[in-house]
Amino acid sequence: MKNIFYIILISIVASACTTVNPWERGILAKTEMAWEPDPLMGQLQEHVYFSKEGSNGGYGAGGGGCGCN
Amino acid sequence: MGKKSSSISPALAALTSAAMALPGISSNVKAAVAANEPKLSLAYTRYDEDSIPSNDALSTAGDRDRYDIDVAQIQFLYPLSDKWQITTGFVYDDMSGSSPWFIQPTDTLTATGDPLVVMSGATIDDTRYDFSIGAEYFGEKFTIAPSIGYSTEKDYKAISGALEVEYEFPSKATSLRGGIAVSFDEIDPTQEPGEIRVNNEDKENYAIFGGVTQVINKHTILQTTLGISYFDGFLSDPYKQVWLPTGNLPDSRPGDRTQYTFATRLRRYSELLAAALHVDYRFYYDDWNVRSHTLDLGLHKVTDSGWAFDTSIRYYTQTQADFYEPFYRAPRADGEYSSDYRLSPYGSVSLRLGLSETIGDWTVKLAAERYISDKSYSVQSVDVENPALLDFTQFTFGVDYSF
Repeated sequence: MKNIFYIILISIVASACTTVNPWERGILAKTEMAWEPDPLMGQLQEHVYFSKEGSNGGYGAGGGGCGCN
Repeated sequence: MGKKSSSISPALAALTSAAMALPGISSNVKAAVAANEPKLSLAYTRYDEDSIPSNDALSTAGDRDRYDIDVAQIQFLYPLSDKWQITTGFVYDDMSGSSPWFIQPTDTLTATGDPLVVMSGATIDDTRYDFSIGAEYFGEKFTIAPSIGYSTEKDYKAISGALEVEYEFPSKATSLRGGIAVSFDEIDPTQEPGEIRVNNEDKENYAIFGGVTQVINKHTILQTTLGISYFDGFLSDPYKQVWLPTGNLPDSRPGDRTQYTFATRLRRYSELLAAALHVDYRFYYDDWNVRSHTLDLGLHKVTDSGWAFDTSIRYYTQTQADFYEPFYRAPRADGEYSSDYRLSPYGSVSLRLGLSETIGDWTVKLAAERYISDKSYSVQSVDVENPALLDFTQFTFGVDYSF
């Protein structure tokens, strides 16, 4: 079921895309457009939520656990 | 090493920015080529959990103060060439405070009434040291990023490793990414007189993820990721107990857990606001029957004068694990028990603010977050709120220096 949803989502996204030439990508390269503009603070946030909530993960590979409770 | 763009004209900076984007969209995930100068990042964070309210705790249960943590982070990024860079990181946590121990009803004779938290007796002090090192290789079509980490504290050790790979299609508008991660953790709880706790337990984690990043138009980029993570071993909390009329029992959870995630992130630049809108959403499900939704909305603005401002609001809601109860009226046939608030049904809202200023090679950063959780924030109706739900505040001060 999830795979079907994923395929449909990609299809919708792909059909909504417009061609963006390389010289038109200056905005996409801006610091504020990064997935995580400040990696160090992002790392801390992820660790806090990982330690203090019942679910975690989602955006990539995580690190090891901890005894935080 | 070259200096930063503060000394070049805005037109040249715009051209440089566009040129950096030429290799494709990897630059939005990581740099498409290695950084052109080493960078040292330092940050100090003060994390304070609110005390348990007096009407939610057993009056004779002692200290209601929860954890305060001082966190120091150091990260050093060093480019070896235009194809390779390494990043080393170190985190030091200094923790102090009490932790919820178990929850009992106001009327223990009839096992009825409101749940009351009983905190761990003595203040717990611990320190954690976390070391990590990662490399990134930037090829023509592939970016490859292996990393390893080691975390140690008085009663817990973890060694972890990960490998992430990203492939960019020739159109440079689409890339596929995937990765694997493993972690081997060892738990050796501090023993207290009169308490029965496990000795030398361990757990393992194996995770895999894959996703796609797509340029939608010159203002918008989207990334979706699917992940599966499997835990095996001792997944209980050795310091928590559950209350039953016949006497307390240790927190005891299943020996394995499989987690599934679907996450999507959107970045949209608004010419009107001259700022980037961030939208992150994650759906999570696991075989303990915990389901959660996380929505994070943010606005990030960088000015020509070097100031950066960001604000975001995060909403989180989860359902409870199958075996969770605030307290138990009778033994369970499967022997699985937990009254941990992290496995209870609730919702939370957090607000974050950040401000930074870049002058030459230096960037100074300030950030604050307020996090509150409550049963009323849950998307589903919650009959009995876990009285140990967490509220916290944290402040961060950081400095970056580019050599």
